[in-house]
Amino acid sequence: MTKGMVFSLQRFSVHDGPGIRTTVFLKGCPLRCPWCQNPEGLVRAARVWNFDNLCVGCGKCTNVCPAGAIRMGSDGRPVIDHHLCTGCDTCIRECVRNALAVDGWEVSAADLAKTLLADTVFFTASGGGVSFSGGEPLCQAEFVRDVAERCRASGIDTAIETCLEVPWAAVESVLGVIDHFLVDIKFADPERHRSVTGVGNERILDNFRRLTAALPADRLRARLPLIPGFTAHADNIAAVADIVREANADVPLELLNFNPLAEAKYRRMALPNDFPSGLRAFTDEEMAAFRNAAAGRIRVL
Amino acid sequence: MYTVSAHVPMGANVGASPDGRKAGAPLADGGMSAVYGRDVNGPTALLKSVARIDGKLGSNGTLLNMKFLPQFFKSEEGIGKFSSLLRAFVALRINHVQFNVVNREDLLAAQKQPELFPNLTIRVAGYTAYFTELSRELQDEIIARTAYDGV
Repeated sequence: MTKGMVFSLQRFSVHDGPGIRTTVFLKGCPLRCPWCQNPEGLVRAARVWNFDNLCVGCGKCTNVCPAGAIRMGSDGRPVIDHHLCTGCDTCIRECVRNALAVDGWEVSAADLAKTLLADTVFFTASGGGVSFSGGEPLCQAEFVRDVAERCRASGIDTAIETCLEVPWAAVESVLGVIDHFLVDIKFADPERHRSVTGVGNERILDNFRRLTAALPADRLRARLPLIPGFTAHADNIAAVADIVREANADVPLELLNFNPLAEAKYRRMALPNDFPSGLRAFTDEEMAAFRNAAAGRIRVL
Repeated sequence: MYTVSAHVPMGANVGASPDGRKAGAPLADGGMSAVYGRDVNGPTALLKSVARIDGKLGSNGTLLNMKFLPQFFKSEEGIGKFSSLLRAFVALRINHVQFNVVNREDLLAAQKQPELFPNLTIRVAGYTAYFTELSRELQDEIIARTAYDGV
């Protein structure tokens, strides 16, 4: 029986693939993209966070913590030492303002599958299913395989959103239980990829080519998140489109518009973030221009 | 279960309840809807829960109110997904669900300037009414009903 670390379960998810889906968000990621939409998914272990907008700075949490992991900072707000924190939830229960919360929970494959299969009637009626996202779901490949196998045994469609920055063996282990692979390719240039995300794209592109060789094109989709000042340049879009075409010209490339909502999340979690604030999503005209950059190279979604 | 059409006045005559509901606050609308803010797992979980209740217990009929934001119906894809949701609730053998599709902002604006929204109609509880003709309490109550934007 495998266990996994999950940070969110989104039922009635209607923007992530065909039909009505349930998306499972798994913790842990090998990349450190400065624009990350789900910062609670970066680290594998469950972490306790203090929400600045709710905290009144009473200091009760510093007294009740059995591990001595919380101290008051110079700004009058608690600072949590994530190395000392055992995730015991004492501070969460004791906080009078409900300002503390834990960002993940451990669940067995059987229990998770039971929750997922509760929505079978909606998946069947809509042609939907279960999606694995994160974080990087393949950091927990064994767990994903176990859960997806249970879904497939009940005839449920499965999809995964992955950056592929994992050993090929992890990808290979889920080939038989995942119907659709949505692969993020952020930068065509390995050096740019390294300087921005902390890791080069060599293994990602190698895995992508192996994946296109292993699966038919209708089970694959490449995705490029358009980030202002980072990935959203015509040159980068054209170069990523060429990479996809050279691997398999029938695989479509989806351009994902920038979503500015994460900024509020960073603020609430009081996370340090040097990502520029106040950015907006691209307009229809700007999106059309980005699509043009890839047009003629690959089918763009 | 007897709250269809009358959950606001009946709630006004019921004391505080062990679920944390304060004295005089509205009961769950329609008898089947979740108490406001309690359906934290979204519309599919809500429908599954309602499907478990024996309809014969509702001597005054039962109904479930669900509210969706207009954005959900902007694309063919969204409309298709909504129709799948309808097929699923029929498959779950639920007697009655009624849907409202209005913007929260529009409702708040209609409260402030009713003369600008004479034709704004809304399903209340087994009947459709002009929003601006409803009592302030019922208006507040409709605004508080959970909205699913499908995010």
